[in-house]
Amino acid sequence: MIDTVNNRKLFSFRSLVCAAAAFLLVSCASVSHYEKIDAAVLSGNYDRGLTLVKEAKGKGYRDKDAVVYYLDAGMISHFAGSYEKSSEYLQEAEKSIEAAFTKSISLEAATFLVNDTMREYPGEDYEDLYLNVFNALNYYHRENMEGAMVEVRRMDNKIRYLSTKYGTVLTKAQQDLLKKDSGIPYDKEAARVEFTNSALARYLGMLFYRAEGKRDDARIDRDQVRLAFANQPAMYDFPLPETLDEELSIPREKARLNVLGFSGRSPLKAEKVTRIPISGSNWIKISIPEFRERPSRVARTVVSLDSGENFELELIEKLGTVARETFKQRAAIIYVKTILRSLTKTTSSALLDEGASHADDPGAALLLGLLSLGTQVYAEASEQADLRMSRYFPDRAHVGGITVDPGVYTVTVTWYDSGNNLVQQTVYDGVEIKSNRLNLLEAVCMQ
Amino acid sequence: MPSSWAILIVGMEDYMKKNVMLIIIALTMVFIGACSSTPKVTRVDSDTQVDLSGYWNDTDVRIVCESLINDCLSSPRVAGFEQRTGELPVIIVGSFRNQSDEHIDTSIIQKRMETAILNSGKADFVASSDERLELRDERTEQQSWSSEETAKALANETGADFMLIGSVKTIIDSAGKTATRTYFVYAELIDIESNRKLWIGENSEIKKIIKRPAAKL
Repeated sequence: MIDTVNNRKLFSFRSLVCAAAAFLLVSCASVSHYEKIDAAVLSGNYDRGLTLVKEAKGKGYRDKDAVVYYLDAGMISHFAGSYEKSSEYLQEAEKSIEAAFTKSISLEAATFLVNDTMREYPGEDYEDLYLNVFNALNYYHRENMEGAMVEVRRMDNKIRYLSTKYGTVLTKAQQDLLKKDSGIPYDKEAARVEFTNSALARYLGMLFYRAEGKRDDARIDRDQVRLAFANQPAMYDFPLPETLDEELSIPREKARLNVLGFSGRSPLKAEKVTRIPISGSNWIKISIPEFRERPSRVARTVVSLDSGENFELELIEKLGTVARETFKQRAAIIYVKTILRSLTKTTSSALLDEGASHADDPGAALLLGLLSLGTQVYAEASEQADLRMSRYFPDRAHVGGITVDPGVYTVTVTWYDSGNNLVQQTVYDGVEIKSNRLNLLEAVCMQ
Repeated sequence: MPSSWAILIVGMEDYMKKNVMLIIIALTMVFIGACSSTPKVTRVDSDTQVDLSGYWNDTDVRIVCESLINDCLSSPRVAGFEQRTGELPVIIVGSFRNQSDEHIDTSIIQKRMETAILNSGKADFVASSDERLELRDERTEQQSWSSEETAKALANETGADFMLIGSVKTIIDSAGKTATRTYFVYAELIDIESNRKLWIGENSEIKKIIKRPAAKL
């Protein structure tokens, strides 16, 4: 009984010392810089957000976090309308992802001793693809269709790479149905849990190929939108946009206005900590990342023209869901590795503790006790979840289009919440909608 | 102090004393290494082949341009134009489209071809549409501000016979750590009046296999 009480006291004392030491150590790797950036982005002050991102370079964003830095800076620049800057950042992000493919042995070894944040952040497949989506838009906004097409081709190559990496994405049955130009059904043989295709990237490809007059390529991308929905039901658990087929049947004398809407902010990784007491006064700290939603107020989006026509945007991609599903596939490996690492750290502390309790010499016992405490402090402080990911991709992408007479229009994009209350309204004056070209508007509501 | 601890500490002291110079040298080397902040620059011949990322680079430009220029200059149809008309063909540079999957500055290919063909003495070039605007502005200015003897006449431009256009395309195949990149570069000389093609050159010699190492130190 007395032993138990003493153990509890010792456990409490050690916990206090460890917590204090861990606080001092952990505070060195703070993520507090995100608070101000998040606030600036949410309020639509993107220039301020970008300034804060730049200021955090070398501090909040370490050298190992180059991919995250360039993605964050690239996305915020895009929303700020600094398309040239955004392109530069996103291209740097792409280069950093390529460079991080080659793993550093020393940094990988450090992940087994310290934590997963010791390695270079290599970027996720979806981040690698979405950066081309936004870069294509950057080039489009700069009226550089050739540059936009380069990005579209890069997306296409990456999706092909993903499909070879994870296996077949099109069954013969689906191929036969595609020839008849009908809808693509779910086929369990082709269904993937991995991210192998993006309806958003394919949709954008379809629009750009259509603008280039490459109707076959546009048709292939339209079919790929259907396949993305059919073969990745976990990521596309909502209906295919109804206006998809309209995109490739525009009368010659008419013009098509397309609107791409982005809403909300993608979910974040947050740290979940569990402490499991083991022998004596030692415990295992398991710190793993888990996804936390950043709820959006937006429930529907209406586009209206001053000519009286209006239409609702339809959901085409839940970028947040893609991020979460991608993470789910790696989560098991992260959990096992974290437990093994934590167990190794704590076992050494427990062994030293054991040695201290059996040492005859008081000096040796004290030394071993201090070493045990130090090891536990190190385990407590060093076990940190790897929370790195790009934070400023939107949560959802919506698409829509309308065929109208060529002319100059005022276009209003209105975002409503579930109670039909106005969340945000953006008016685009003097939008010139021409036939035989891409007339694409991009609207963003981060709320 | 127990004897084992004493032996250990004494042993460490001995080791430190014996190897003190070695430790100082090692620390100095590390310090000097960490302090060298200037980049190392090595000048190399412009013909030196340096492939770093596997993307389009100066070596590719050189190989492609050499092949296309030689092909164009040795074309019997291009040579035949002068024999038929008694005048050198006049060429204007049109668009060189980047239809690849990487951001390539195709104006370098354009300019190199223009330079080589012009310097060969087998064709004349007139200013491209972008250059023309600047020249026209200058001529208009001259009408007001230059002396009558030196001001150049308006509407006296040489009309081109042919337009040089081209494109760069890529085919990529990748699986695992290996990717292949093949570049297809096309150049064409098109008769502006008849739309007939005088010459087409193609270069598909650039094929790269890029293997990304899985690990580094």
